[in-house]
Amino acid sequence: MHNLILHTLLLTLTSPALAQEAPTLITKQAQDAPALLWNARTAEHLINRAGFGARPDEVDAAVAMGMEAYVDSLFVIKEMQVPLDPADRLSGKDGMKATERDRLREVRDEGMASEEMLEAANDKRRAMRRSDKQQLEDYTVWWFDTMISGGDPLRDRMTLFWHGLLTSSMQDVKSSYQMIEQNHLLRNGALGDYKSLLIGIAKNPAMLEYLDNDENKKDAPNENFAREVMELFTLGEGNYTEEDVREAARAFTGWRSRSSEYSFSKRQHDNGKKTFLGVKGRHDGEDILNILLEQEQCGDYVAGRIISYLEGVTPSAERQAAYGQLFYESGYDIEGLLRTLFVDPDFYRDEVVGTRVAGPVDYLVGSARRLELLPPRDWLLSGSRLLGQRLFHPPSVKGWDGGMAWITTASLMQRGNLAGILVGEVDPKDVASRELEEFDEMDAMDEMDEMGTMEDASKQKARGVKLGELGGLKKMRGKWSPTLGLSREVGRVATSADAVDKLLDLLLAVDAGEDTRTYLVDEYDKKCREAGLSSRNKRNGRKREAVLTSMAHLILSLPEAQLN
Amino acid sequence: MTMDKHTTGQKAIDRRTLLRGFGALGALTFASRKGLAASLQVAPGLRPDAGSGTLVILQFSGGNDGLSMIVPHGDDAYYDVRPTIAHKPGDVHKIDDYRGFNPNLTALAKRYQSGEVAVIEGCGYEDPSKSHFKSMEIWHAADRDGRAAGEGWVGRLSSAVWKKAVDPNRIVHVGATTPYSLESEHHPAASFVFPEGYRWLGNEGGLGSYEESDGTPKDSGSGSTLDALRGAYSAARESSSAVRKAALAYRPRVEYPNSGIGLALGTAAALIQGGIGSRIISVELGGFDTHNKQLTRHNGVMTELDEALAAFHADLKGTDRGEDTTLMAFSEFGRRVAENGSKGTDHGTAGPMLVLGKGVKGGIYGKHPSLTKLDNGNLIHTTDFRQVYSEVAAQIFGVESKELFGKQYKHLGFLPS
Repeated sequence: MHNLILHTLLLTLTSPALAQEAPTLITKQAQDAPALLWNARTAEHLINRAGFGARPDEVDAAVAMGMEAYVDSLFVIKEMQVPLDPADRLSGKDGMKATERDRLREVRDEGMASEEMLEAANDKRRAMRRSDKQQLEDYTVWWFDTMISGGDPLRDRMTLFWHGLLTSSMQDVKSSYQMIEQNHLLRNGALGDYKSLLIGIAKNPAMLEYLDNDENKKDAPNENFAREVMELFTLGEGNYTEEDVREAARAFTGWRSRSSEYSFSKRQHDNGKKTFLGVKGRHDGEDILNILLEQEQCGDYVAGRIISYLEGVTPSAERQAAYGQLFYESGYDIEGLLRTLFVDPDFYRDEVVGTRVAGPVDYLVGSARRLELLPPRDWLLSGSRLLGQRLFHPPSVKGWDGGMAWITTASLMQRGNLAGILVGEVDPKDVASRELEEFDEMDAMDEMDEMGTMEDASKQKARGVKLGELGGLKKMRGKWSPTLGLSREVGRVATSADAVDKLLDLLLAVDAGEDTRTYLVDEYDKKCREAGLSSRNKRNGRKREAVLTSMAHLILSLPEAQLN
Repeated sequence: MTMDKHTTGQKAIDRRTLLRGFGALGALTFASRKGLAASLQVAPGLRPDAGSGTLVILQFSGGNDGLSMIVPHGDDAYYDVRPTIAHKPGDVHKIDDYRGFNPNLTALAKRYQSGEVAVIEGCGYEDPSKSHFKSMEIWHAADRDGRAAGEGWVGRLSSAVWKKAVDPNRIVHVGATTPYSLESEHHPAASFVFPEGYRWLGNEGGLGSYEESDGTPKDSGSGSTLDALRGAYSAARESSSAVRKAALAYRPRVEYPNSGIGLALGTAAALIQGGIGSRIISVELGGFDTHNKQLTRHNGVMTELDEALAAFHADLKGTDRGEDTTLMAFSEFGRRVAENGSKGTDHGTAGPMLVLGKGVKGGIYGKHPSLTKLDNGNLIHTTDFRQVYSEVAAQIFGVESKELFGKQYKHLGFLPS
């Protein structure tokens, strides 16, 4: 354990301000605490949080490996084939560049463009937008499949975290190429150092467009990025002044995105003197980022975000400060922070284990992993959207709120319904109700085209967002009848209670309480009776499988199944 | 089921009391709530008159540029600092020599003439935050400390009016994410986007027995999060049928526009006319964070707003429940007075609130903030937004502001008794 802790400190410190002081070992408690027990409980917890949805056989394997070896395995660099090369394809935005569009609109207004010309231009744009949407969906499904297969769980987990923190939305960026390219940046840097990640994201074309720095000009700066980089990426609200926001905005002038690449416009950059967080100079954007990284508060804030995410509980000020200091002094080494956290007994305290509300991606991926299913793409795409976590479309620059904010009365029901579809118990068309079946997101997009501009079409956007989420479920109707093999999974059992326990072990991340267990045994017996299975003879293949499948749906719909 | 009705109801309430006590960041410490709990203790028999009207809260998310909604066309300073995004005096729907409605708020301007629209100018608070999230929290909690102060203001209002008598249909959010204003220790909000899909499929029966056989949360072994989930689960079961039926049975008298806000207000109308006891309905309109291309973008949202409000008004007009409905609109902040270099505006401070309804005494309330005497380029608020909340709480729900906000705010008079 001590070796692991020390590992985190063997780092190259690049910034002069991050002085090479004698490192403070993380929490004293971590050293003083009794040795961390590595058992099924702790192993399952680590798999759930460092990755997704632990299966009983994975828990057994991790326990057998031992903690140190298992933690090491999470950080081994995996050769991962990212099957999509976004450079191969253009984005919808490139389908018709603004100038071309303006030119066409002009000739149309002058009555010089024929109906056919406009129609052809619209067709082209529509086709490009379709392929753009398709490309991002393909990538999203690839990412889901990777999470479900579990080839590189920690990298997937942290990429998901960074996607929520250093976030951008397709809604505004409107280029699948840029969105995917941003995801590659987050994925490659997910376990590296935060300094590189921060500078990378600040110059990332999707981010430059998402937070408008692309339009941040010398004469009248746009403060959007300058504010959010402090509020959300480095210091947290309340740790800077409005004057700092204005000064930082000046420093970032001229940073823009051109042809999906970062470019610097000297002409638009304000080279004047600035005072930022008390530091005077002719700061440019990188100076601002470096000054931010030199603040101990930055270590504290970012470490706090990481810990809150992985533990599902806001850390105490002391705990956050201890990790913040470690993070800061290590030169923002993400791997080091995680290695320390994963062997910290406090990471396994009762307040943390099995008490986090599973986010939609966790719920969907976890359920699929536990049932060993690679679900249909429309279930993943529509399901995550229906539950409120549409990847590459965060609701705001703050990403997704998480915790109990995932749960509304409606989302709780839809989780159960999506589980029902996954196990083949619920017909997707019943979730996508009749009124909504007629809706197709593509139609809304086409309407936008008719309206001429994306801006005019913004009012159509809301409709697309709200109704489009069910479109995919409609498409998958009747095409999904999975083989769960639950009879085999549960095996021969002596009593109904044994069968229920097997299912609970397989499907839940938490121990069900005695009441819930009793209730499920009753339900199991009831279902057996209805299916004509005697309580003794429960080995009748197909009928037994049907009962177990129905039980799996029920269990995944319970409040207990929303925890991990 | 032979279960004693009273016992079942009681248990459900107990479980629900735990529902919304947990924010995104884990358990809130209600002990730290500035003595709120104490102020909510109203002696039995002194229960205020809860009335019967419905309040619709419309949230403009992203920071609405108030100067583009209620345009100060009579102020040269407005044209000086907004060379490319100002609305020309000839385009606005004039209210008076100084101000007018956005050119796209045609129906709203017309309704203003009929005296059913109150515009409360310069709403904000001391030491304004320019963070979307912090400022939104402040408006939601009605407290400068945001969610650190405890429940949302609607949650507090609900406890003051209905004590622990919970009705799962009473507080509804039509939208994906429930706003913090509805965060409540006792009164969970039902929340959905599509009423049609608001149900469990396949195992409703089995889920029903879970609820009834399930013991008290102390057996959960998993502590508070599970209890909160069980509360949401109960609320979902209890609200789903009534809400879905009300929405599906409803035949609006007009066609609502096919926008998110249009559909949400259509659903709100269904809940109001369905008579299922929905008293506070929350809806949201986004798209206000206009750092660039503001003129086109903001005009688009204004058009969307105007069409949706017009449909909602036409649908409810002349009906008892419809005329007993008041709509209040707000945003987390207004925007910078001067435009930026991207034909947009950055985060600012004060902005106008709107209150609409048959019972509203229309007109201009408060004082327009000066466009020249600024705080770092930002408007200085002239009305504390809690003053507006207070009047709404008192006149619709019979709760005095001292009980809610610890301070007696003077009514502006837009909701006469």
